[in-house]
Amino acid sequence: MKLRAVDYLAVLIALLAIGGFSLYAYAGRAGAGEVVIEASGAQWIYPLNSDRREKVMGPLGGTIVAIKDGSAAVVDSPCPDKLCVHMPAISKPGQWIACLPNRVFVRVRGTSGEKIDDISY
Amino acid sequence: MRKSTTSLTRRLDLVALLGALCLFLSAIEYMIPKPVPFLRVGIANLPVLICLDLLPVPLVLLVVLLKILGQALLGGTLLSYVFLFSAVGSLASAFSMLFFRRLCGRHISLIGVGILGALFSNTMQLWLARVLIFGEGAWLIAPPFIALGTITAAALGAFAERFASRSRWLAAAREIT
Repeated sequence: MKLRAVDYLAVLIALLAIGGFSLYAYAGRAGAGEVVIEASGAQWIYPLNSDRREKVMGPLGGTIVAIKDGSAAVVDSPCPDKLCVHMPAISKPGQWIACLPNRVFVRVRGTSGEKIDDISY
Repeated sequence: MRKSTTSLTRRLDLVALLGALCLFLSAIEYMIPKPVPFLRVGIANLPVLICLDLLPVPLVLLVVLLKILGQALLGGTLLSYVFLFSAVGSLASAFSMLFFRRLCGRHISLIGVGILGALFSNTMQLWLARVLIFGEGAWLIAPPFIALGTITAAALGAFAERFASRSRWLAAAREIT
């Protein structure tokens, strides 16, 4: 028994299909949102699927927001209690992090519809 | 004339036998424990793989029809929406397997045929699940569903290929058809 030319092609097509579906089902969805940062009356919008570090200025100084692996978090802020720094990273549409003393508001906005929490069979 | 009539009778005998084999293998399939609900070995497809080269297209489709009915009777799903999934999946795989086998001939083995058949069957079923039940969320199970389908189809294709090259019964069946 020997694999023939089109057999390899069939395996390749199957792998491509699995890869394509994986991208569409997981990566495409997790990173499908946008991060909206509001501070000092201005608004910045960044895609959730590209890693970056941004510093936005508020009344107290610079608040640093990091976007990494499809989720956003406040990594540093000049506020006294650091509640925003301790809030978990956000990734799903509707989640938010606020730094009230520095008047910085970070939220995730979905670009495609609602995400399903879970599916059971 | 007489010769062709007996040939047809023999072919129909073969269809009946392969259909019965589908029924039997469906029963075996149900006995295999499934860690996840969408994992199927698909051993009931073995007779279909074997008859691809053996029978003309209408009779291959007849075997597939018998397989669909046999599975539905055994599973008790004949009158439920599950039947629709089974029928659509089986027909999609049958048409794609026939297409690739007839198109590529010696350049494709039953392994490749099985993998492509499983791919078409599973994709159609996912599409049906998306349209009928789960909506967009159906795609979330697509990668493991198709990956497992590819693996089981390759294994089944390898077995069918081995069987096709060694079975004396099949060699005899080739003679009479």
